[in-house]
Amino acid sequence: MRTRPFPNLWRRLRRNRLTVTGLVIILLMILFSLLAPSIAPFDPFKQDFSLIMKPMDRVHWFGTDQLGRDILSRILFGSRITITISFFSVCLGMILGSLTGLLAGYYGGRIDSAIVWMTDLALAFPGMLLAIAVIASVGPGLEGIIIATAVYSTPQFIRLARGSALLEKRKEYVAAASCIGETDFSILFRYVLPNCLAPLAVLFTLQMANVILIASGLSFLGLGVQPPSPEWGAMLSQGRTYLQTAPHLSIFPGLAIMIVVLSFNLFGDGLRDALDPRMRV
Amino acid sequence: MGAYIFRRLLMLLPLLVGITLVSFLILQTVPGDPARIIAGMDADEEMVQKVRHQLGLDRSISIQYLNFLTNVIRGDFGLSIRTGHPVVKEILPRFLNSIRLAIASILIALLLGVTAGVTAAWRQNGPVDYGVMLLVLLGISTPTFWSGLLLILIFSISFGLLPSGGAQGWAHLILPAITLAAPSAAIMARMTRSSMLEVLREDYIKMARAKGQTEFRIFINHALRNALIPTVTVAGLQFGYLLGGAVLVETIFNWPGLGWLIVNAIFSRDYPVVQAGVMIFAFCFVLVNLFIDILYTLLDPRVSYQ
Amino acid sequence: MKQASPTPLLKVSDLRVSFHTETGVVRALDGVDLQISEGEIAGLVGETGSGKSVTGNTIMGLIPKPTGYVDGGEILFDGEDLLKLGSEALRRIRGKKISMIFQDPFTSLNPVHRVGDQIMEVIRLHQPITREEAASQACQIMEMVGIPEPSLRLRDFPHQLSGGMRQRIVIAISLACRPRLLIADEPTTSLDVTIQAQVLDLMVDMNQKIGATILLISHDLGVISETCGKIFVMYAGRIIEWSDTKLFFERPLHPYSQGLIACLPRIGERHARLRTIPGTVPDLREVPAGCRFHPRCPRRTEVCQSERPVLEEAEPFHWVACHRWKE
Repeated sequence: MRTRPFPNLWRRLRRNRLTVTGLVIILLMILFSLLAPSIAPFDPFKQDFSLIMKPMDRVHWFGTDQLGRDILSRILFGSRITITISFFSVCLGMILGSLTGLLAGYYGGRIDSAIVWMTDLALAFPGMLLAIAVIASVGPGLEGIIIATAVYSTPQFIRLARGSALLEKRKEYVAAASCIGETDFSILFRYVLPNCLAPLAVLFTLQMANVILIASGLSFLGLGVQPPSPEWGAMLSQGRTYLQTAPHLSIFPGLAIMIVVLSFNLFGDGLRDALDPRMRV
Repeated sequence: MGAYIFRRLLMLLPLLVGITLVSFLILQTVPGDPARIIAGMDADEEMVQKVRHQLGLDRSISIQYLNFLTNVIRGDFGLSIRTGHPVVKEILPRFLNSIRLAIASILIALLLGVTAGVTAAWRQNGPVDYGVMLLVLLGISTPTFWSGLLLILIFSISFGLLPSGGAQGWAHLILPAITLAAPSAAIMARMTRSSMLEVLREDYIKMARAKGQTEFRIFINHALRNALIPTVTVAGLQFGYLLGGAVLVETIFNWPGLGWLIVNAIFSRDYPVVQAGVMIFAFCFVLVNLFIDILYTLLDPRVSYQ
Repeated sequence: MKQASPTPLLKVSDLRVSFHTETGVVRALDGVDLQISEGEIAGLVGETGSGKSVTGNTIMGLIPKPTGYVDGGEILFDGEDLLKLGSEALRRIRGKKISMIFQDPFTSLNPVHRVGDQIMEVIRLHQPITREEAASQACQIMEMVGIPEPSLRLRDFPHQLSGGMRQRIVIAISLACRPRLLIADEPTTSLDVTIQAQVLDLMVDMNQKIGATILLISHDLGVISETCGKIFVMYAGRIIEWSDTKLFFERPLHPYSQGLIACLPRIGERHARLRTIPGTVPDLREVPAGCRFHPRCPRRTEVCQSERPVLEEAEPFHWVACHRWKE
């Protein structure tokens, strides 16, 4: 009936060193973003024209950008933006998506067909394109990016939850539960939902990775977070102009994105292997 | 077979209609008055009214959508706000450029990915296997707009080997195609590897050994032939993503494709272009998937299209 | 039943194989002795986990290498020790001199290759001939195993054939090169009872027509009693009794064999419950000392718990490994 994957989970996770590395980096990133105001050596917005495009040195570990701002500090503050955007939108996607999917799968009928149609529709657009189309409607900016990435991540959650609901509702214990008078909601939340918690967790982690890429991509294009915000994608877009003379403007933000996305992918893969090596998310 | 294709196309109709609906809604949900946007920010009220009437924006939403739909079916995507020319004329050459890039990328991705996956499966858990898996993780985690810049840095700027902008010749295709291909190659390597490993556990592989077949031929003729089937499916999906996701690579390399056009159109509020571009990419994606499904029935003798 | 010839075609002596798994070392084979003469049909019977499939796989050299390890022993085939052969030499023997068929005919056939190609593959592996000649040889062997319209069947895919037909194809593949020895690992287990009979008849038929020596591995005593002239009983990685089949059923000597036969339900018998052998097969990672059967044996004594019994000749053509067979 209920699956309890958690008791051995930590032990199994710990076995894979790469997975642990991923988790450590994620936690570090969260830590940095929380402590950014205290640990950043400089003000990320402070322009200083005497310090334009300095290379890496002892004072400015990552150098300065075209307006004299310290890149390390900007990266640290940028992590707050990245974490906030991706966490909120994936959470949004997960809550909306799972609820919709569970209800669609469990009740079936026309509601289900409509939801399936909408999900297929959303997935008929290549990811980045879908996000861009949403931005075209709602306009660039912080809210736009959160809505766009939430729209991007919801369909996968719907599919997962719906699949799980379809599977479970045929099982006998569900029939038994409704026989003794349990309400549908109760059945959904007490029995069906816990059975898809494991793949949901894996999907959440992997979607974080994808959303970070999409969100920074949107900002890179100028459709997301606007300057002078130290968002990593936006920083890359500005650094691009000075690629030949000051490559460090472009190297560090991109490196930051890659490391964070990599850690989510590492942890997500490890989570999937620890929970069930044969799980297909 | 023709009847089967026709039936599948028919089943796709709700999806295709949905795509046009989404595209239509883009203009409807734009902040501000569409008519004013199209007429121009400094047009007077009379002008705006004229435009509104001209474009049928004063009719009800359903009528507007029906007009939109009939126009799309006829191939009329309206006029570009920025240039005044028919959108189709603007889009077509850009679209072809995007396709060129996507095809080059998918070929590179297939070549690299399948080879890497097969090599990793050949010596499972060996150093090559771990190396490939590491590269796979890097491949899917690296943002293309960064790897592209790095490639430009190394090959164009430092060594002056390859051009970094425009689409004049084959040389211009190399860097963008490689950049775009990297994440797809990674996904295909992983898919091929796991597919191969699964197939290698099957009884018919044991049977082939019992016949006295060489390990190499077993790998290629027996295992790969089976493992390629799911890999081809993934390749199709990837092609679709390559079309839509190339916008970042197009921007970095100034590759005159449709993705770049769409993004510019968003900034210049040229909504007819945005609508048409989004629709075309989505249609392409859906059709490519259909093609892959049909290909699947040809590749796997167990699946018939009856 | 053909007479036993002086030098056995296959002689396995003291074969020991272990598997190194995450949870421990599994001693799958702990001193297996087998002798099969040319033209015989021998049966290897045992429960799941007794090591009978491992025996067959080891003779073929199909043990998965990193985990499986041959610890010792000899496999003399036609005088040559297979364990000392290099992989290339072994490969040339497989399919041509020794071939093997497996339990499930559906999964033994490659789903994307045509059936004819799969038969021709083994033919062309061991003979340098053209496709046309290989095709005609394939048709020949298909006819011999009773497949109707062979030339039409060549282009079929496995999923288009019935279970019995698939097993015939598998047998055709294994006999296409007229091997001296055919190892059949549970060939009838996943087939319908009616098809089972057909396949067994086919194997006996092939033994007589082509002269293929057969080692039939099964857990089903009934199947073995019907087809095999000689029977080897295996328990927990060892041969505990072997003899001429008729003698075996007339007078089974080892307590395990007696238990096995007693378990067979007989028509006309009346019992309240089916008889079983109490206990379970030992975990091969931690085998009991001495005689491996002693925890479940009704006749065990002190010596059984410490000393391993050796195979001794109780009567002509009947050997047993038990300290107390005389009772």
